[in-house]
Amino acid sequence: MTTLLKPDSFKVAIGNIKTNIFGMAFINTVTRDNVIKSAILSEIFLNSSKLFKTPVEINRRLNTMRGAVYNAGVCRKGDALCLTVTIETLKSVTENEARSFLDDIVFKPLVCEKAFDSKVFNKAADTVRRRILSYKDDKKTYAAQRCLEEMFDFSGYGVPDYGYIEDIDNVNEETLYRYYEGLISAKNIDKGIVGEKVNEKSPVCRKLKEVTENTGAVQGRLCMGFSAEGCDEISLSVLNEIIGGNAGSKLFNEVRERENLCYYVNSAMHRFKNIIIVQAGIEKDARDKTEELIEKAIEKLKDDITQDDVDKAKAAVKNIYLHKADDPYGKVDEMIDKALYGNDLIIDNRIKRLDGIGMGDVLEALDSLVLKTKYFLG
Amino acid sequence: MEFLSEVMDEKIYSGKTKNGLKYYIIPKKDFNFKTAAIVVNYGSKDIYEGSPDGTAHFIEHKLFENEDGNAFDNFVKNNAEANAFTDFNKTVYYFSTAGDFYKSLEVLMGFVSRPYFERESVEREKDIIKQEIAMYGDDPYWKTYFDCLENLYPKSSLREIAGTAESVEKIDAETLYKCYDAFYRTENITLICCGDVDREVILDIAEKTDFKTGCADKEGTVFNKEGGTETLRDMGLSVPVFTLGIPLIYNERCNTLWAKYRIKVLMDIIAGNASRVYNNLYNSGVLNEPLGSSYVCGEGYAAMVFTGQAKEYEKAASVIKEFMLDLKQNGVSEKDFGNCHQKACGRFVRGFNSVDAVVMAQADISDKGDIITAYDEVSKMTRFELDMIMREYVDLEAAVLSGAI
Repeated sequence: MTTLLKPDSFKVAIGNIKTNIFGMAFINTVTRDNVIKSAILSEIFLNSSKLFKTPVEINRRLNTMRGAVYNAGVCRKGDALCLTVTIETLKSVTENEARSFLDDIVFKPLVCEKAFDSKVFNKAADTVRRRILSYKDDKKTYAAQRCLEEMFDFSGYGVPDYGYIEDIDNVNEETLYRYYEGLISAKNIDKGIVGEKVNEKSPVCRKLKEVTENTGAVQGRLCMGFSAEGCDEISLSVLNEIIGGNAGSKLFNEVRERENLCYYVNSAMHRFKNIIIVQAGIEKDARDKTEELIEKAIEKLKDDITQDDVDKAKAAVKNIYLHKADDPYGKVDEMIDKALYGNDLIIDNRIKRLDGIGMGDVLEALDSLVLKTKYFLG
Repeated sequence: MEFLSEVMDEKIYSGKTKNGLKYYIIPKKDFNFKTAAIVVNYGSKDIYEGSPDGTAHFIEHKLFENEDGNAFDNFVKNNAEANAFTDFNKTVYYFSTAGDFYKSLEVLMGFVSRPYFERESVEREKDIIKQEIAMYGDDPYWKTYFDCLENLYPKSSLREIAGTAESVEKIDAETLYKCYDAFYRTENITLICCGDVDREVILDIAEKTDFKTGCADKEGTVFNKEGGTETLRDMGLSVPVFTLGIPLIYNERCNTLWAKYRIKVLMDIIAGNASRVYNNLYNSGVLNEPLGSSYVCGEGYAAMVFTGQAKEYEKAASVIKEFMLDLKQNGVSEKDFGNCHQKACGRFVRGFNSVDAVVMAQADISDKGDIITAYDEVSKMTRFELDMIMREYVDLEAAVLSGAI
């Protein structure tokens, strides 16, 4: 039996917060294969171990730790795929109890001769299958995901969160176990954070794509994906606020308040990838009108942006950073960002960089904005 | 009144301002953000002189507008983020800021106390609200939830919060003024603040804002239980979604903090992620993920509601009901109670990690008490009280199921 190197879990303890968070993060690159495997593996972490064979046993153990909150899930930081396992306990629960719970889950899974237990594996694969299927039932999320998928030509960053259903059959108890061994024995980047720093950058599509999908939904969902290659991340986040980050934004005012075309219209920036996804829920036959309105609003921004817009947007971005500082999971996120991409991403440093952003930087970001995908779900 | 909880290590000030507004102030140091909310005891189920469905929600949308523009802009000037929501029983307006809290509080008090419903702008808002209704039209959890309530309480006003495209069309500026004037009254308004804030300054600001006194009577809250038992809705889903509703035989105690926290623990014992029901349904392949649960109650109505995603959802519902019958007959086991009770106490304390969460939790119970003494209800409950609720309040035979496929 090989002895695995066991990384220590990280700890987040903040004075005015009543709980501590302990956790581990396992980093690898976004590929179709890794996405499906990490999705199934995180389900296994969530629902079983050698000691706690079912989710109910896990949850009962958590309840006896004064209602500790345990989670395992996968997120993206650019092309870095990040499987994170955390436990949050009241400060009166001992550190040892919390850490050994995590160790049990992560390092002592239910295995049988270098393969995950079949029942456990099949249940996890089934859950992922259902999740992929039901993704389509949440129209707003599905539309945004489809837009990304088209924008990145179905690979890299465009692979949906839970992967593709046909890829599930390519994974089995043994191959997943090998993947697991590789993940947990990778080198330490920082305390509790293991894996490789990811330098890959999956590219966005070259030409503008226009896609329509009919699902019989009540409401039409329009998504437009813009890329801003080579643009400074913080300048882009200020621009994103101006475009559709909040209820004072250009799109909110033009599309909702002036034209009354929708209830929601917003833009979301994907950090590390320099892209912005604009989305709106509209009457199906208002598609052309809304598309045109959004394109025009962004086009005329270069003459429209005022210093006041920039100042307000900077304040809004600063709020996002400060919210993160108030939230212990924001700290966890910051730690992983820092481990992967360096000190520039510490909240204090980002606030400093934000302070230095001016009109010129925002216009430069605007100049780099290119519409890549128009997706409509009808 | 000042109350300090040693267990929680939290303090709360509560009382009435000189001009009669109820307030709760929860000081919390070392957070960047400060949050405030105004809770108006007027929600979607409250009808006045035949007001159409969706009127309370329509007011929520339009109240942000004032004579010289939009309150949102004034919040942005103070670096505050503002929003609002309406539920069956209340309308809540709130903001959160790391900038000037007191100026933002003035903006909040100002726009809620000064309605300005301009005819043309009210007409234009209808298209926006209709799109909000359309958005929910695609949400299977939302739709089955309201189907469930329709079965539990037919002909009551527990219907879609925003109304329907038809009912919204019937609302005009006059309707909004009429209902605002009936319910936005001193007795119906509560102010909640949390963060690193000064009580004196807050009270000063609140005392400069006057609402009229004396509330109108609410209509349209008649509840009866002669509805259907099952609803099926075809939404073209990949995985079916369901809502199971189990009504309580209503008595005044149902709508108190005493019941609220006990029933929450009871529902966790029945079908929570550590329950025997979940164990059974997970192992037999019916469920892949835990069920959602909520206790829906107000004056005259109270029901346990479970939601989930399952192909064989009818089986899920029958396993839940079977276990409830077992609990009715044999009571809650000491082990199950101890386990879920411990969780409830821990999670309550954890809720104080976030300034926003504290304000929302207080808003949720603002007509019943304060969030710090509420902890007593959580910590002091016994399993015999849960047995009594199960035995005497829960009307298992009147359970209803709604599904979407």
